[in-house]
Amino acid sequence: MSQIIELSTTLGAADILKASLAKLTVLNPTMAVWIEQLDSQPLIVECVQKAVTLVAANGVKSSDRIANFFGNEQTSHQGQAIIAALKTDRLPNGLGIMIDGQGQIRFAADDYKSEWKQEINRLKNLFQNAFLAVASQTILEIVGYETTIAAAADNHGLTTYTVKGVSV
Amino acid sequence: MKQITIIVQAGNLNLDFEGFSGRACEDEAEKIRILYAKLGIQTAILSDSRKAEVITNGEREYEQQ
Repeated sequence: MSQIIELSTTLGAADILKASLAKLTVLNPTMAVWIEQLDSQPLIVECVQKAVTLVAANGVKSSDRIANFFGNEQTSHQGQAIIAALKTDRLPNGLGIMIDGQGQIRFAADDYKSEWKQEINRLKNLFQNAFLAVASQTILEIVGYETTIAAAADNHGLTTYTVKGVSV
Repeated sequence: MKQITIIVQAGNLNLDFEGFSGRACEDEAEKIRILYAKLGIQTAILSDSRKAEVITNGEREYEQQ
C-alpha cells in the first residue's frame, strides 16, 4: 500500500500531540513513553547546526555571532545564546539563530536597511527548509530507518530536499 | 522493504510511504507527526492520498486531526 501525505509546517515550541500520543500509547506503549520523556532540546540544537551546514554554501557563510548596525558583535541576544548565524554579502551583520526554553527557534538580526530585511527573509526560508530536512532525517533515524538526504536547487534559488528512509 | 520518502519544498512536507501493509503506514505517519511536534515543528495535513481508498460506505475509517 502506498500513501502520500502533504503537510504544511510552522516552527513553534517543542510540544506533544496529545491525541496522537494517546493513539500511539495503544499501539506501542513503550515508544509512546519514550517519546513523551524525550528531551528534545539537544536534538533541536543538533538539527539547527546541521541545517546551518546545509545552508552554508552558494554565498552563505556560517558564523557564531551577529553584529548590529555599528558593527558591535554579539554571541547572544536578549539573554539567549546564538547557536549559529548565517551571513551573506547582502547581510554582512548576519542572521542569528537561537532556541528558547520551550524549544522554539528564534531569529535575531539588524534589519535597519530594507535590503537587509529582504535578505533576512530569504535566509530564514533557506534555513527553515534545511531544518525541516534535517529534522525529517533525524526522525526517520529515531524510528529505525537508514537514511539519505539530497538537495536540488532550482533557477530561482529555491532548494528542494529529498530525505529517504529505508527499513530492511 | 518499507520506504519513506520525504520531500521538503517551500516549508511543506510531502511524505510518501511505500511497502506498508494495512494500518501500518497510518501508524507510522502518526508517530512521525508526534516527533515533528517534539522538535518544534507543528504540522497540518493539506492532503492525504489514502482518503479516497478508506472512505467506504460513506464512512471514514480513521479520524483526521
